[in-house]
Amino acid sequence: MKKKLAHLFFPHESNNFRAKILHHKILSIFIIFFISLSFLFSSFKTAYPAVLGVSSDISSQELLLLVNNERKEKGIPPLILSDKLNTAASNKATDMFEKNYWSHNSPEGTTPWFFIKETGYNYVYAGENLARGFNTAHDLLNAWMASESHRENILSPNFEDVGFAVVSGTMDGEETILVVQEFGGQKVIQNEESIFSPPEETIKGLSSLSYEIPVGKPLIEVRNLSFNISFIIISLFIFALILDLLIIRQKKIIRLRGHNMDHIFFLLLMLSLIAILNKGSIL
Amino acid sequence: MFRKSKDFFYYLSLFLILFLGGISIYLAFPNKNLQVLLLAMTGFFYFLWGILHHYLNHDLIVKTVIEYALIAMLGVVIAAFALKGGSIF
Repeated sequence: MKKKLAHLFFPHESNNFRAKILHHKILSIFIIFFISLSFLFSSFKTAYPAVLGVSSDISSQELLLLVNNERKEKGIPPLILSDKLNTAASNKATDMFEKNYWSHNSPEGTTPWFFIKETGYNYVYAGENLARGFNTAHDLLNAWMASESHRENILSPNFEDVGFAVVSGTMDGEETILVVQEFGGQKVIQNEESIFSPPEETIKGLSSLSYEIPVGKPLIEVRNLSFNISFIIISLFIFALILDLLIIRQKKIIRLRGHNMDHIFFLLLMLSLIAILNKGSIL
Repeated sequence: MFRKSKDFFYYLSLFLILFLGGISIYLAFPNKNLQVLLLAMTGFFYFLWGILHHYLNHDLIVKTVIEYALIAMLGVVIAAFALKGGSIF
């Protein structure tokens, strides 16, 4: 075992003075392994969504509770969960997945207010918060509260009602959990301007595409699994490159090969990107 | 690390490639398809830089070319796998 590990990680006569893990053959095997794993994951996610898939612990009830806690702390009346705004949020989420856009307005220019009006909710004030890729309601609320415009919506006294949609789907090539939060207020508060103008467009009938995709809880969370595998393997290669570099320098072995230092810098960038970009996004 | 003054310029150009690649990938968030495209471009430029670096040092051999191509591919494939939640393409 010790000998095998040494062969794998230490430059030695047995591996032609280059850690075996850094040989072309092993590098190729890892590339093929990740490509195969990608196809395997895609097939497995489709065939067995209960085993491997995206999941989230976010629920409308928990979000409502957290939002109202924030309002309570500031002495603002709590929001009431509205069926109409829930439907509006669900329709908006469906539209976003179907037309593949991550924006408040659709590519055709449909505003969030259209989805609220089409449910029959007559608002004086309306607002919308969006989020994707979050695992817990706490993380999501913290992100919203850290953003001035989202916090303003959550803490606005103009809003009385709220609706949520927590929907899974594929956006920009990524399977994700989308959270849509629609706010509404039907009472005119004197001496205050409405936060958003009412929509200009003609209101059409209720969308026939109004449905909510239930977010199941798979046995294995695919995003966490792929993140962990990637992080470990890249770290392993960085470790092997550093070890190889140190031993080669110490033993003053001259090789006509690529520079380990270059590869370390490149793989460190990949590792940093994986770590930094493994987070949710708000809009 | 920088034994010769020209090494400084080699690594400065490498850091520039990696910095621009990293920034563009960060700014493309959360569009995963665009991020993967930018990852592939960063990997490709890293590969080109590696070849050029060794060519200018007069120590470019086929094995080195393959090594830079494999490391670039490995980094891109693993990062794409993580960023897209288990699916590369």
